[in-house]
Amino acid sequence: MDFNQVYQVVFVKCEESSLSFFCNIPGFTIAEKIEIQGKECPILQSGNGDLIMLVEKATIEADTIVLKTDDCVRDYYLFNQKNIPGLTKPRYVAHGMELCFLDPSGNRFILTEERDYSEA
Amino acid sequence: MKYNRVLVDKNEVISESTYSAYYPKNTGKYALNVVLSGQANYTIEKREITLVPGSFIFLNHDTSYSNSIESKVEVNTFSVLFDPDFVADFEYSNLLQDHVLLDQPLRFKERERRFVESIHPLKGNIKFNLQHLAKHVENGVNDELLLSEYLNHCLANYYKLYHSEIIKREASLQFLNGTTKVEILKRLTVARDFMISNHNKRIRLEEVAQVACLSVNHLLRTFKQAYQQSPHQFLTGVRLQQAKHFLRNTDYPINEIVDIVGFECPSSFIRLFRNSFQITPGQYR
Repeated sequence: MDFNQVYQVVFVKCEESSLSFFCNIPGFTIAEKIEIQGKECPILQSGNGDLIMLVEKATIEADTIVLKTDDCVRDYYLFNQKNIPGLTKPRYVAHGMELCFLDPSGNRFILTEERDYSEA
Repeated sequence: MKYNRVLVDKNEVISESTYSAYYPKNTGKYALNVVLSGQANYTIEKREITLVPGSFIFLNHDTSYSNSIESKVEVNTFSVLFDPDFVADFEYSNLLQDHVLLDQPLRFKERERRFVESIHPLKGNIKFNLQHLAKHVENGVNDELLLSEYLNHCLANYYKLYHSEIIKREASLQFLNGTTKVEILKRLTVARDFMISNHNKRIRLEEVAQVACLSVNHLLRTFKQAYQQSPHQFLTGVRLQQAKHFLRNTDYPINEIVDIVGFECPSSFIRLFRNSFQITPGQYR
């Protein structure tokens, strides 16, 4: 594992159900499991290489996590086939395109495709 | 030569790399034609246009046209042919309110949209969505539903572009009569397309005006109203964009690029380039 890579910590209510949820999302894979305070925490890698660490916690406050993608339209199509909850249609924003979905713990994930319009 | 054609329902996506080709076409479909490198010549009814890299043209389903490629360098083109029903359905379901859609679900088949045909710069979201679509086609993806998502997005991008480039510009013309506005803008797009197609030649203003069926004064006045720049400024902009393309994608010497894109001398080209982009051509390369 490359420790120079930064991962985002995502607090979840139930690690097992979250893990099965993310493993069902196209492009997400388990990169590794690391031990923190005697507890194994899975690290997941998105299709674009972003890393998130799932940490189970009894009470959590739903968070917003931003991940990158290289193709929002494709991801929307693939996610839609998997009935990902809270999935929004891709929308055009100032820096490109983005879509959102929710994980079982209520965390909001924003998948963003950055587009450089300066040369376009 | 490389030719790849994918069917998406009744729509088609075609990518081609070639040195020489001729297509007498009247496909019965709306055609979005892009040139990625090199040049392609189109005869659209009586008009001759040349598509240059970084530009595209959207042709109506009932337009009679042919296109040819005759080049020493490889020409890469990409086309999306939209079935008229697909376009009508898209327009109907995106532009009308829900209760109309529910009451008359098949009404879209009654209307056929005609667009003002004009060369547009390939930029913004339509460029990115077409790039994604091209990549999937290149990789052999033939999932119709996925490709259809891109076609929908490309069409949405085109409608938005059309609104800002045609509808809003029509409105900016200072004429009272709506029909006059439409007709003037049509002629101005002919003038624009002529300048884009012949940017590498010495073009006289009288020639542009003649092609557009406008007097020189009328052309100057209305062009400025519609595009907030003079025809000369527009032509310089096209030449500079083409110069950028050659600087980025070829190793041609700057003097040669100056000649290819139609500037008269390197010093004025360098000055204009620096003034426009705050960088010299050498630094840009």
